[in-house]
Amino acid sequence: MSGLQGFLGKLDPQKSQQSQPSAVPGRLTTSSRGKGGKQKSKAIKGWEENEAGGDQQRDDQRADSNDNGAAMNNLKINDVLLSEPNINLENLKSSAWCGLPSSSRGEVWRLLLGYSPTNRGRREQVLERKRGEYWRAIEGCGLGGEGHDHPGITKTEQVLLRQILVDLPRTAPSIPLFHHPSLQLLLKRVLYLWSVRNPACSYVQGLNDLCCPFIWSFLEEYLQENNKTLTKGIDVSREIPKQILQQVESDTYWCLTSLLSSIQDHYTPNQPGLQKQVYTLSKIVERTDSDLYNHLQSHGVEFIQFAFKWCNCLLVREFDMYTICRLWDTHISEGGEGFSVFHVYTCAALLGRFSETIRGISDFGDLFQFLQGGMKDMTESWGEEEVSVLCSQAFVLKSLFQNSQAHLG
Amino acid sequence: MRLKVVLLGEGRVGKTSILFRYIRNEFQEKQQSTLQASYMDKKIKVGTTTAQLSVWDTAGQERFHALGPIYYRDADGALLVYDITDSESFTKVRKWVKELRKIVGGDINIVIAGNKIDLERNRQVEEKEVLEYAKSVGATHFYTSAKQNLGLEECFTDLATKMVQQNLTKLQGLAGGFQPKGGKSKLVVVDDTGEGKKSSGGGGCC
Repeated sequence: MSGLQGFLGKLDPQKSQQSQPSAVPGRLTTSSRGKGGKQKSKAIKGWEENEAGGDQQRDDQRADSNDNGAAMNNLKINDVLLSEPNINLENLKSSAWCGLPSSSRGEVWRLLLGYSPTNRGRREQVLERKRGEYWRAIEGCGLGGEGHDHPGITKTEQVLLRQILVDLPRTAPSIPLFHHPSLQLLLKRVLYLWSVRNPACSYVQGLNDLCCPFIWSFLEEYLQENNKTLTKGIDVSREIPKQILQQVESDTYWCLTSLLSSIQDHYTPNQPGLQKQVYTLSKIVERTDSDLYNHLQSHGVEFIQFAFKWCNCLLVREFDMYTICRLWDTHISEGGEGFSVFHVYTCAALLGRFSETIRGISDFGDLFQFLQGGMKDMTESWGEEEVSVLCSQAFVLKSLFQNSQAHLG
Repeated sequence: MRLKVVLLGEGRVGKTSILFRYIRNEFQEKQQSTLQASYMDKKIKVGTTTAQLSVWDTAGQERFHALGPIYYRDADGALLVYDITDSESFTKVRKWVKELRKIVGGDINIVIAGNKIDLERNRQVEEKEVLEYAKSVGATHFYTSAKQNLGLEECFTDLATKMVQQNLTKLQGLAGGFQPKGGKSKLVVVDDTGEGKKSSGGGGCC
């Protein structure tokens, strides 16, 4: 399979270049931007110092293994790709497909999602303009100010705002970072603006989850630039300057907008795009793993009952933040079809990965529990290797089925 | 005997928390929003009958309202949850009752739960209004707190008792003392769990 060989070719470590990364325009930095090289060992050490509790050791290992796994792409992405006067997006995609180092992730996502321009000379100026545009839009839609009281908005908008406010405290419950008041405010504005600007979709529960990988990656980008690293319980008021938070917010908005533009019909009434994706998933599994398919069927479990969440939240709820960001590297590198097409093969690969476990469960309630949340207990220990395997399996499935829809009939 | 229960109510009134507390005795201050629906089951003994409660927890956002029928269509009972600190959430209960009575009639047993009774000081929903309303639609009303584990056993026991009685009546093909039609059946509510320890106003009202 030539496609698979092409994919394997991307893993060639010989292609890595040796040199120190330099400051890149548009990066999330304060005015003292451009401190030069990122020191991985210090970054990881930061974990040891900052992360408390029983998860510490595991998180250290996770951060370590994820970064090591992507290390071969690290220098290449920083020096060869990001410092070029004009970035070749295809090359960047093929490198990013295999996973990005967390220090470059924010920047590469901005580029691949078409928010940041490929022309290095224009980058800073364009981002500044877009960031300003976001803040003017926030003022314009009546959501300026720090409080939650916005008398200027219409009654319909108040209903929308109420729903968003209901969901904010329930965003990623296990990560205190997202519950800091300034991040709750950030989420509120991003979600509200997106919803009023996309009235055909408006706010749908779960969109709050989709903001998290962006916020996480952009904050991590800033911290690594300053030889620190992100922890789940980071003291936002102390560690993140207001100016950076504002950039993170506008970048999250624009990147979310870009991501969602390819899957708008996931969130329109009755969610037709999502329904179709779930249907395709069931067809793929029926073809590739009939034992699993029959097992689910015979126990009365319908795909929509668990895959709805997978497609609505793009798997954010099935993995922890490190792993989902790594998984999204691949999805975002797939271009406009990452979430609308490739995602369904990732879901199929994920089911395949746990096929044996699932087939070993014969009680409906237990099956439901596993598929609705129990899987996360098993993916928590995942590192780069497991994600790579998942992505390559999804790639193979896509190569087999995507252009042969008759096979799924 | 397998009995199907559906949890309905506005977003963030505590449907999922009620379920987790009742079935697993777990409570999380911050619970993720439920998308589509989730499921849990539990065995419960009503008199001499052991019933398997299959509880479907549904999404609260108005957007997902249309999914309701999938879950309540063949349900034996509905637990309608509102948040006592949020009057709009009680308005939503009225909507659900109307819809259930219209679509499935008296075949579905309804219990209303006023959740978050631990936040009594922030109460927005008038007790008198709630109790009168529940009575008028033939529903039992309980105050609950998933956080403090108050009223949940009573609430589910009451619902299960009604459902078991209804099922037994159906099975025996008797018109008997129980009228599952019409929504105002005179059911004897068995609540032997000691009402004294409960928060104010708990208990049946039929």
